Amino acid sequence: MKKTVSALLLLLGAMYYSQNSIFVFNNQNPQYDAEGRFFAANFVPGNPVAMFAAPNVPGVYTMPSGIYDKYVTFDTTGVTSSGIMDINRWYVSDYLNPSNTGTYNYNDPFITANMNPNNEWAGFIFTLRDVSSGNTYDYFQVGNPAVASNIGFNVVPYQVGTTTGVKADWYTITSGSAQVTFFTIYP
Amino acid sequence: MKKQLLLAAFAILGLSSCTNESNMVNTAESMKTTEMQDYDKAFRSLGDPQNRPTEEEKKSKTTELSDRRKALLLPASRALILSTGITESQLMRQTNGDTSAIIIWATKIYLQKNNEIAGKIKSQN
Repeated sequence: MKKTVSALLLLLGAMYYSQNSIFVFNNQNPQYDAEGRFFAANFVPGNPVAMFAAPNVPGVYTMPSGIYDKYVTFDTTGVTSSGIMDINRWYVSDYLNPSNTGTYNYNDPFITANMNPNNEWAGFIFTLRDVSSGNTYDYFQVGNPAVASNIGFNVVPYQVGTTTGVKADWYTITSGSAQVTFFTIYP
Repeated sequence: MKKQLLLAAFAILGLSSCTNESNMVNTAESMKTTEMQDYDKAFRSLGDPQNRPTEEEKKSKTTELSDRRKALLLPASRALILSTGITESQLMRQTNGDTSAIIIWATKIYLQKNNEIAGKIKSQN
């Protein structure tokens, strides 16, 4: 009995540990939408599995001015509390296992079984679009360098737009096995 | 004359629907408790000039928020947790006083409350 309980606890611990972190994002800037590619990656070096918010076209994924929302897991991104940040599909790229490469619905069992336990939020590569003029400015590559580099992307945790001076900040808060990733675009 | 009246009626209708919309926005913000608003303010304050990452912090290879910046989030996080009826001693027992554990706990509470507010607004529509 004791053994079963401790085995269950261990399993629970392992499941908890292997879960990706909650991603909380907030575009506080009143003037700019952020448009680009939002992606996650396998966190183990040597496992270059990438996943992009589909469709995998630069500029398609937008964090509008003023948005505050979250993604808890990869397989729940199709239902957000704002209702406008849903990621309905993930484009998975896995060149070591090409048969896995393709577009999946967010709640596809493949995402739950293979992406949830092995991947982590990696970065957001974007430009700023002025909500009134429609002009775009600056090019940001912000994210978790350790994770993004596994799939060959260069990102930094903190970047200042050279033209706009807008600041983007990607940081984690970690306690034991619990972690939250925050991404903020400041006013 | 009839046409003008009709036009005026539509104009008023249009205007009032705009007013409703701004009411909706106010509602989401006003439905937040004081502790939630303070939590918002604390996170926003990380963007203030004196609270941005220093050159030293920017050199760090990790994404983990520096202790200096975490400290800015602590008071509002504690207050948000305590506002749910958790006692000071429960808070200490649960987190061992670890700053990160307290901020993560507060964040989960905040996100849940935020979800509830979004749900209420949706059901109003």
